[in-house]
Amino acid sequence: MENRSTQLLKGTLDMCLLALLRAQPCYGYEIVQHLARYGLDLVSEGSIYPLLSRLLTRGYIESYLVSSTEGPSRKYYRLQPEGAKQLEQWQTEWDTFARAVECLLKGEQAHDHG
Amino acid sequence: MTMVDQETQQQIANLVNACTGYWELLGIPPQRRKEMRLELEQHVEQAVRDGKSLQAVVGPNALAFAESWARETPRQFPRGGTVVLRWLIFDWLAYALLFLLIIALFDHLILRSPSFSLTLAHVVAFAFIGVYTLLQAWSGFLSPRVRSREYRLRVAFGIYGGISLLVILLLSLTHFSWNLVLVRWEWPVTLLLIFGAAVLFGVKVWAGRSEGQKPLR
Repeated sequence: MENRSTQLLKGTLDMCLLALLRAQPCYGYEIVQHLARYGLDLVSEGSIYPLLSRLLTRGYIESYLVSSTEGPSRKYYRLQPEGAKQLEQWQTEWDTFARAVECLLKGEQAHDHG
Repeated sequence: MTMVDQETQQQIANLVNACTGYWELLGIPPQRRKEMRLELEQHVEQAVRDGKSLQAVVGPNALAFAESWARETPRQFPRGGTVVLRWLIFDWLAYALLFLLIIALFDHLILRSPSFSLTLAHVVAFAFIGVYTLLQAWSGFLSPRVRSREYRLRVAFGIYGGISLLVILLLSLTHFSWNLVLVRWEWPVTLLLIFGAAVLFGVKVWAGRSEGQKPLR
């Protein structure tokens, strides 16, 4: 059975990936390391790749190969303008959601959105 | 950071090969497949050097991981049709032909028979060879769970043995005439088949080498 933080991360991983790539272009393993530094540990590290693939297909990010003197080229990902726009939208949605949950947990009065 | 031993390297290679083969079957274009393969390989190697397991990267079910990645990747059409055809010709047919030639040569050289008869039993044996080559290709998905290559092969053989026994048991309940001759040919045809098999294996080796030599970009 997955714990709650794993489930929460699953639902927001695409947003987290875009946020990380906004800061700097990264390759797959680097992304996992950055996430871990924020305390976001993935159950399986490879689960970022299907998501990166989806973000690529939607044009939110792009990939490019960086040649290495030590071995084969490494694939890096960077944020695209379309991805930056999407990230802003997701961030707004997340803020609204997080505020609502926080209010609920603190037992504050609900605001009528209808 | 730890060094990657030979057994782990083999484990990684088997896993990556199994995933790549599966992506090929699903019709992921070669260039994209090569990139995915390289990414997976580099990630797993780095993770292992950092003291993590293969399961930490692909999860407990490597096939599900390969499937989820493929689902998010654009595919080319026909979906894996050419791959299935290639598997049929280069794997199944090549090994079935080899098997056929061994028994045909046994008939000609040891039993001194100028002709060879292909029976229904031989055809069933070809089907067994097909199942075996498929299982061999897919055994790499066991890599994250079964570290030793020897144990992986044992598990694959176990599955194969189980399937074979079940099929044999089912077939024994039927009343087919297993010695029914489907085709009969004389020894010159066997010689022609030897030539055909040599060409097929030559093309198989050449195709494998040229695939491995293509640059990433």
